[in-house]
Amino acid sequence: MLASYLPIAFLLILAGAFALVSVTLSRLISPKDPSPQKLMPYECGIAEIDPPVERFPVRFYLVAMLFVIFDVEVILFFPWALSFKSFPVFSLIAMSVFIFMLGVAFVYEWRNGGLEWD
Amino acid sequence: MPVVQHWTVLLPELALVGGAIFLLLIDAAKPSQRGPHLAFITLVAVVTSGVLAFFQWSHPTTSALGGMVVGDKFGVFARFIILGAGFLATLTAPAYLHRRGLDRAEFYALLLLSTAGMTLLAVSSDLVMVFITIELLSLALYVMAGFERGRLESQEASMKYFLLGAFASAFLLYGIAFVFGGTGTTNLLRIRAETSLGGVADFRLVGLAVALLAVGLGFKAAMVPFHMWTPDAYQGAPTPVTAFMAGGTKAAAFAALLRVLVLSVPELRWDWQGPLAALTVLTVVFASIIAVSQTDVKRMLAYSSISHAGFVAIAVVAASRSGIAAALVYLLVYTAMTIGAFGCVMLFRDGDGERVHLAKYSGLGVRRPAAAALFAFFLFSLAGIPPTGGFWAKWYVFFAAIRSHHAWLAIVAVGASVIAAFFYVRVAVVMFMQEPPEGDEMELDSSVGLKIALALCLLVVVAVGVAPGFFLHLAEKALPFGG
Amino acid sequence: MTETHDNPPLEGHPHAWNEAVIEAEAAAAVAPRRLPRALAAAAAVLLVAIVVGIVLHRREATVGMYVWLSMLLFAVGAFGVLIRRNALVLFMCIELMLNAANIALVAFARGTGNVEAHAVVLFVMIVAAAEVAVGLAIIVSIFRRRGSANVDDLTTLKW
Repeated sequence: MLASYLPIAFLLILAGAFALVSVTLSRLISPKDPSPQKLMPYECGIAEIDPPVERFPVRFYLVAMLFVIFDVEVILFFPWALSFKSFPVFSLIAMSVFIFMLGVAFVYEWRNGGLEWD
Repeated sequence: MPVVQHWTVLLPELALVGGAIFLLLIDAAKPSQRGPHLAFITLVAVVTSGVLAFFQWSHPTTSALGGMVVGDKFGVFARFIILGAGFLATLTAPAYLHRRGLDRAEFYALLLLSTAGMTLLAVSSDLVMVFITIELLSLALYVMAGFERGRLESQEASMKYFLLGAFASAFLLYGIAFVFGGTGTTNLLRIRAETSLGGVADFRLVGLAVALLAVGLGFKAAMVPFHMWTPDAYQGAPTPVTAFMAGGTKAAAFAALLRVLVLSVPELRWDWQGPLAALTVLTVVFASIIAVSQTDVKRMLAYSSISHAGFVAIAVVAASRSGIAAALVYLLVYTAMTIGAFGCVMLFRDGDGERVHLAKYSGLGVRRPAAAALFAFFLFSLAGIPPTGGFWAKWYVFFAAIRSHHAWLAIVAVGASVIAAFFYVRVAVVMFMQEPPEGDEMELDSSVGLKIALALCLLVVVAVGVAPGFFLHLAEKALPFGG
Repeated sequence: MTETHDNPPLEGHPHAWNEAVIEAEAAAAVAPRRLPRALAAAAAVLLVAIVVGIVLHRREATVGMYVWLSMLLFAVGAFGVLIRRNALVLFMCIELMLNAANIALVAFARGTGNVEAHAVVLFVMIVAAAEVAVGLAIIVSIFRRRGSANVDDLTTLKW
């Protein structure tokens, strides 16, 4: 059993050895002649001062979050509708419970001001 | 209609979810309300759930909801541990949250939902159910970890926990997909049938799948090398949440790991025991060594919880009847002593905050001898020093390992617990042997809930220390599990 | 270069106008380098797609092919999580991994003739949506506080 892991161990050793040999060889063989120009990120122009700023329209994300939840939960209605005839009573109760929970989430979100844009 | 039968197995979870919905509704009726009544509602829901679970102890094993969940004694035992963690966390939370202005209904609703996820995970007998319940408990915990939005550490804990947790669930799900590919089913019992003699399982796929599942569940149980999130999440999260995470999540994750590995793929035992034993050794040794260098007490306790995950995993590797019973007893004691230890951290307040740096504990034993002795007791139990419950838990685990011919694991674990004892005892030394600094009055948190919680933890640890055989017998009665 | 002069000076910043010009020049210097690279990447992807399409278009698509596709997507996602540093991008990579699992599930459902996996896929989509909501909430709250969604900036706790 454990012997069957031997190839993995062998591969690990091989990978490590390869990395080691190539790094050492390139250190030893490569020509080194650094100059300030070579070490700059760009040949011409001025190096970036800050990384570009990312934009987060926070309001948009809040609405998107709320939308995604209520939008995607609807997926559950499709299999329910298809298999409704197999167990009508049970699935009706189950789906009522589910819709009730969604309703609770909606009421909570509404009362806490999640739907106000400003 | 077979699907509808035995839905009563889910009554404990329905009580928890009902409590959560009630909390959200009263919050919707009067937004942003605060107060002790919220914690009281939570406690009522947890106790109701516990009572409903208790009635299932005497029931015969039933399979419910088309084989999605199973009502058995193992599930009831695991549920009790998880509900206990939820109960204790709810007791400790109000004072802590009130000081920081966080005692809102959402917190308790999330706590209940997370508890429901954990208890459902403990009774899942289908991998789809395992995935959904893990997500339920994790999503609630991600938010709870970041509940202290004003504090950078809390936000950071939440983000790290979330990113790594979602990463791990992707592995879990991919594992489930491969189990389905290999066996044509996600039901644990049918997987067992397909992987047994005469089954049609494709073992290449199932082998890969078990590895992926172990990554996902190992993450939730915080085993090295899937532990990276644990120290940060435990240190940054509000302490009641940390206590809850440390106790409840671990019990639920190991219940699921036992069901998946021991119940559904015992035929592949020779393949998963070796790698899991390797992870176990890595976990106990690595966590014990790293913990020695920690100066933040919450972070040190986080590493301690990682090393304890390793000890429980020894019992899983043993994969025998006595191993599973030992794992259950271990999880029971572990939950009580870890929540006790985090409760003591909450007890030692420092102005508005709590004492987390080890240096701030110097002289506590001189100024507050009773509280310091209590903390020392929990630490000694975590270390596994003889008269405590922690010792017996370790004893049973080692015994199970030796009986199933994994004596070497027991020996390594004993070595690791010697290292681990060092950092537990060091805290006691700092508390009792060092002089208290001038002008530090070392006030204690005077909340009643916290005191009751600590008393309950102490009771469990002492009870297991005094009558370990009774609890082992109880755990053995919870076996064998199945559907 | 003409539009750089239209840049309004940034308020409360000494030499703001100069810096705005400098930044615009830097951006102009960078932009022509980035664009061809993106084009080259797109062209490479297109080329690979065409080649794969030509190779495969006369063959019967087997379950195995879809499983390999899902493995590829899963690996791309996992690799992305390991090398990217923006929390949102990490999150997108995780979603990619979940969807790779979905493809595998549907492919296996086809292979085994058991449609149970289709239901699993629906559950996964719902869980993923819940995860998106919670994840975005966490990322937005941390971004509001710090103005950065880079995970390397999360250093208050030891990483």
